Amino acid sequence: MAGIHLYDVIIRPVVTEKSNALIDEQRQYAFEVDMRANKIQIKEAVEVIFDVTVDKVATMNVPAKRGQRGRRIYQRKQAWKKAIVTLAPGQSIQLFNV
Amino acid sequence: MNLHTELLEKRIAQLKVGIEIAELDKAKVDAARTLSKRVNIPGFRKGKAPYNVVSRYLGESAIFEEAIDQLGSRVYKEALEQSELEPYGPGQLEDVKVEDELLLTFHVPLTPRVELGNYREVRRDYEPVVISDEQVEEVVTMMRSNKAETAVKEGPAEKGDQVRMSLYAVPVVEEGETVAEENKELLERPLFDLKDWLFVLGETIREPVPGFSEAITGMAAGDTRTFTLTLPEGDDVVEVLRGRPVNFTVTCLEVSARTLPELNDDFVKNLGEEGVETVSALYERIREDLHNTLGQQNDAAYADAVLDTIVEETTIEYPDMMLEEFVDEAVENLERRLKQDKLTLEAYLDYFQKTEEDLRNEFRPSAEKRLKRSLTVGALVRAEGLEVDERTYQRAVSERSSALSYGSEELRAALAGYLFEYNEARVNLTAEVLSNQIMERVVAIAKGENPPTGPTPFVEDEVAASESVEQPADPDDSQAEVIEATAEPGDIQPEAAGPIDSQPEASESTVEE
Repeated sequence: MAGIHLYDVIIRPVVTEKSNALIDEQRQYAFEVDMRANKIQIKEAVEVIFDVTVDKVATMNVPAKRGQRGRRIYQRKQAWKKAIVTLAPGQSIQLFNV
Repeated sequence: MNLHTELLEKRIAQLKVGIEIAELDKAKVDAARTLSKRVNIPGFRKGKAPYNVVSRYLGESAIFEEAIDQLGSRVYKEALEQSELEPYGPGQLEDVKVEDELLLTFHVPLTPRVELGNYREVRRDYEPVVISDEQVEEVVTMMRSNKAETAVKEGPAEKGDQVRMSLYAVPVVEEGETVAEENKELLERPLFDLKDWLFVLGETIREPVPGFSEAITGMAAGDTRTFTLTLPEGDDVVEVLRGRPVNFTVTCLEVSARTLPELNDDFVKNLGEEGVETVSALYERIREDLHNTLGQQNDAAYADAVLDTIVEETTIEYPDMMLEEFVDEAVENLERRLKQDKLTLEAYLDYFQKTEEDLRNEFRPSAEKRLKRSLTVGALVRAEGLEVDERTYQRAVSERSSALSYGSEELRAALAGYLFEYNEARVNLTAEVLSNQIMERVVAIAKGENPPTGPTPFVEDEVAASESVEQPADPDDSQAEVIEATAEPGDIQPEAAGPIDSQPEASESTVEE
């Protein structure tokens, strides 16, 4: 795999009300992933790490939150990449154990 | 729910309640929900986080604690009802165990148990006060000496002369003696430093230190004497000063001879005492007054002693919590008194280098005594079947309101209205009347008069009868109605419960509130 090690692809699971609802309703798990990772890398990483079959991966770039104080613009929150992974029917990731 | 009750010592009951695990799990889910409402968990709105998120964020033990809290109070209530115990105050969760079921152990303080001894058999010799001729004579002499005329005289001071002097006295600190920091103030400052002080030779009561009169006898104006006297060992002297020698420096400024006015009818008339015109009448009046005041003291001491005997013979068991409440009360009283002098409890404790715990320990014995007394009095009231009927209450109201109104009719009426209207005031005053009655009863018992049980009969007295009291309640049922003694002296606030020592205080606070 070019550039990023498998275990560096996934940075953390996203645990929020919304992500929880996605897990319950559509077997979709949200992760923060490396900015450089593509869908194929993410699919591979999740399958290897959690031992599941991945159906589909959606990714999105979450823009940085910027603030302005006077003329200076500063970054309040780093930009990051979010991946929503849909598992094959009947599968779940135990780490989230809902 | 599976309940096991056991009585421990000191009126504490132990409740062991077993609860099924399923119920605990349910409680945990509830607990997680309430926790998520209280705690801000990132990514979730309040109250929306699911169980596993809460448990990961706050830890399983937090949920367990919360669950026990919620479950415990509910279970406690149910268990208490089932056990049919009479709790005095809130119980405490002592122990939590999870085995095949959840086992909660509560300790519940129970209402005190008071078992009167054979109080009807208590006897005590009553010694009426006898006023001796000397006591009367002493008062007369004092009256005469108050009106004494003084004339400056030359020559040495003798017994009975009035000496004007400057007085300076410092306590002696032995060489090599270490003085503790807190005593420095006392030992290093002069005990007396008076520039112009009058003293009558031979008036032992006013002597700064015993032997002072003899030490200055024979001084003439302009003389200076230094001498050393030793402070007495008694309890009324601060500990570091007890038995400590004191160096005096006395300069006599003036010696005056005093002439006591002659004791005759003219002197008596000048006193302005109403209805007393002759010497013999004065003697009689003084004897009477002494008899009254000393008699009252004597009676109070007698009643006190009798009650003490009864308390001793009474088996009393109470939970510690009750005693602590009485101690609280004492501390609060102290704080209130300090506040009147614009002091705080902290400053007070600081000054005496004590902690609040020390103070509480100091108060505890007297609080225990008061508690035992009030419990005993409460039990006595019940045992004797005392009640306060409306007429007695009316009289108590009229007495109390005129005693506190200082002659102002408006204030009196307002007080009387208050005492009739407010239940709390009524309960307090009723308790007070009951405790007075029980004291009378107890005294009668101890004197061997064998009074009948039941309510103290109402004795018409003319003053009370002529002094009618406005009463907002329906007058028709005033005769038959008996005030429900919702609070017997044993149950009420500790400050009103002391039957003898704290009555005026209790009544005032009743009105202030």
